Amino acid sequence: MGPKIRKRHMPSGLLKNMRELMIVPPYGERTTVIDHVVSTFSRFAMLLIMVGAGITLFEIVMRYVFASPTSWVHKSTLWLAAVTYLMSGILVMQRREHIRVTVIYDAVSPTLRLIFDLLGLYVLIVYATLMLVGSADLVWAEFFHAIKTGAILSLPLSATIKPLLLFATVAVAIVAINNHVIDHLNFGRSSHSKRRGDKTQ
Amino acid sequence: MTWKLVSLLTVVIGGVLTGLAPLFLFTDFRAEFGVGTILLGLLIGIIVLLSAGVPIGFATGVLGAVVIWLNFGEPGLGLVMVRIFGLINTASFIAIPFFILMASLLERSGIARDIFDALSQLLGRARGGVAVATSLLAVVLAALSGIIGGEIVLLGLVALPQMLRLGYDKHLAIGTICAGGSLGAMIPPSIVMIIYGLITETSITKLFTASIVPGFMLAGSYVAYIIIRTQLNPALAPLPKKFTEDGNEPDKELRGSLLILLLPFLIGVAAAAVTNKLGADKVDQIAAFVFSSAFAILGIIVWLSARQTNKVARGLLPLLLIIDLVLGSIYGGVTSIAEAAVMGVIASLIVIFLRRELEVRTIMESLEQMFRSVGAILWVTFGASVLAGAFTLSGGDKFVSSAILDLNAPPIAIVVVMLLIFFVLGMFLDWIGIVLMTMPVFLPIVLQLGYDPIWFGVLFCVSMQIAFLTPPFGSAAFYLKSVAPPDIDLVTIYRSFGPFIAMQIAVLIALVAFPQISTFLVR
Repeated sequence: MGPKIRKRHMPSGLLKNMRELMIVPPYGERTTVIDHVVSTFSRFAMLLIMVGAGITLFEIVMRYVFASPTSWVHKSTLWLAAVTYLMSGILVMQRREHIRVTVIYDAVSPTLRLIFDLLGLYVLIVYATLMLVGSADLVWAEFFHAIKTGAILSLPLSATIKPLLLFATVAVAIVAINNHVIDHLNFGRSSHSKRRGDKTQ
Repeated sequence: MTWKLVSLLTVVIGGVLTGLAPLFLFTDFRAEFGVGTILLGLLIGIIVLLSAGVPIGFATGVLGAVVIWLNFGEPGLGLVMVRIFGLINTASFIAIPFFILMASLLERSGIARDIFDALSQLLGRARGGVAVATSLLAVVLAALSGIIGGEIVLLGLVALPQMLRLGYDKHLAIGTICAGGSLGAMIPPSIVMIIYGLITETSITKLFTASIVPGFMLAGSYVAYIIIRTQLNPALAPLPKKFTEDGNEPDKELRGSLLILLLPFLIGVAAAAVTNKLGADKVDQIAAFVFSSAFAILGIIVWLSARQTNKVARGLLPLLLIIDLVLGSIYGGVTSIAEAAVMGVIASLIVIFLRRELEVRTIMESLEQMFRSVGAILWVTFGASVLAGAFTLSGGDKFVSSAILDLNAPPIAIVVVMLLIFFVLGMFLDWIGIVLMTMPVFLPIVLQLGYDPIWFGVLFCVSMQIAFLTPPFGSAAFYLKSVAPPDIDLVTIYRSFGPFIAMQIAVLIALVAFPQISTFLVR
């Protein structure tokens, strides 16, 4: 079902093509600047996994064809994958696609639905705050230590991914507030190019 | 309007203050109330939050964090980070984005449609042939995909219109597509198995091996059902009026294609037999099978590439090559699971490129789909892992398993009760929520009863096949609904699932009665 080959005119400019490809309107009928940031940012974060595929292929070839396995590929792929896990959660929140049970939610009145949404928002904010309370000081200490010693340049998993996890969780909470403001307070500008996504989980 | 704003502000500020509470107050809740009370609160909390439609990942995460706080106070909250980071830092997890990317790349290629067209042209002359073709295609796609959804949507787009146009019974067509499409989570590489293996610390390769036979039992029973049902009641699957559109000789072509597709298999079996004679162990035999057949497939692709005949074989062979490479590398122990998944991605890109369908836009769409699925699956895993950790640390698993073991019920009855719990939970929850919430409790019990965790994993996977189809939250139905003609409503879809659910239950019973069916390959 992939699109058949279409004859296109020569691209008027590579930069313009890239722009069209990378900056797409975010999902949703009404959007704010936060939606645009998340959408565009995710567009670039998606590419990381391709980098991971590329270097892993390099590693397999080096190991079996040249019998000289690398030492850095596994670590780097793990890092790229970790960034993917964390950043994808933000986009999924923007698209309101986090897995949930909607049997009751779909059946109740709009007022009750608003209350359910508020409960979900409350839960998420408590979660993010508890996580910050529990580990922010240690994580920052580790992060700044890595910066001071220059170890940050080799992208140590623990010192970079932990702060990123805190960032991602807070970002998810912010996007959730943004969603609530759009859905219930009629906030945001209506985007004309409404994108329909195909469902896959 | 104003009250909505006020309520939002209250919730935001209240949430932050609640989250900050551990800094200021702590009483020894555990000493005061005991484990039982905390667990009861947990159960009530989870029911309330999930039924209010709170995303599973956040509901479980916050409850886990609160339980940790009640047990260990503010210093314990660092565990939340420790648990999630431990998951992220797991090598096998990397396979998940790659497997999903591989499947979504292939879904966007026209290859599945080509294979279906060729297959249904060949088999369509037999009664029920197009439904059988759909099942066969479903099995091939299942071996390329670890999740359901994409596969059902694809089959719904490719096969459903064809079957409806030919006048096939609606229910038969829908059931075939959804049951066949759900096999993606059963036949390796299955993301369900990967997550189960990570959570229970069992070997994912062994899980993949053990699920082969049950997976094919399911697929085989679907095909057998279609054939028997249409023979008994020919009205369900009318024969097409015009047999072939072009002047090919279908019988000859069918025989030729079958022969060609069998050839790599036979060569693989021969290679495995030779290594068996040489005294190699099971894994090496599998590796011999895989790689000799891979070379055979490559040879045949080259041989066939210039010909116009044998469309089925020509369409299927590239996919078989990918399956062979990915699963072969895993079973043969050549690469890690993540590396095998990467090989699958690269091979899919090459196949799509050779079909002249490679476009940057297609790759970006696949990447976006991968991103969305990964985010949805992994964030549930994060939260549930926090909850599982909190549960274990507060002694919940010991509490529940001793309570169950003290019943002195026969072991098999306990397993059956667990399966019933899966069945009930499966009506409302996603598989990922079930595996993460039940396994910390169930697995210690299963181990104490002396059962094989690999076998239990296969049982779980078959239960999830049932869960995909059972209303009101059978996800298979929603995926099909999104691409079905408007006159097919959810009730019709769910009604079609009956016979297929019965077959799945039969396979489940067989697996409970004869564990060897799944475990004989891993011993």
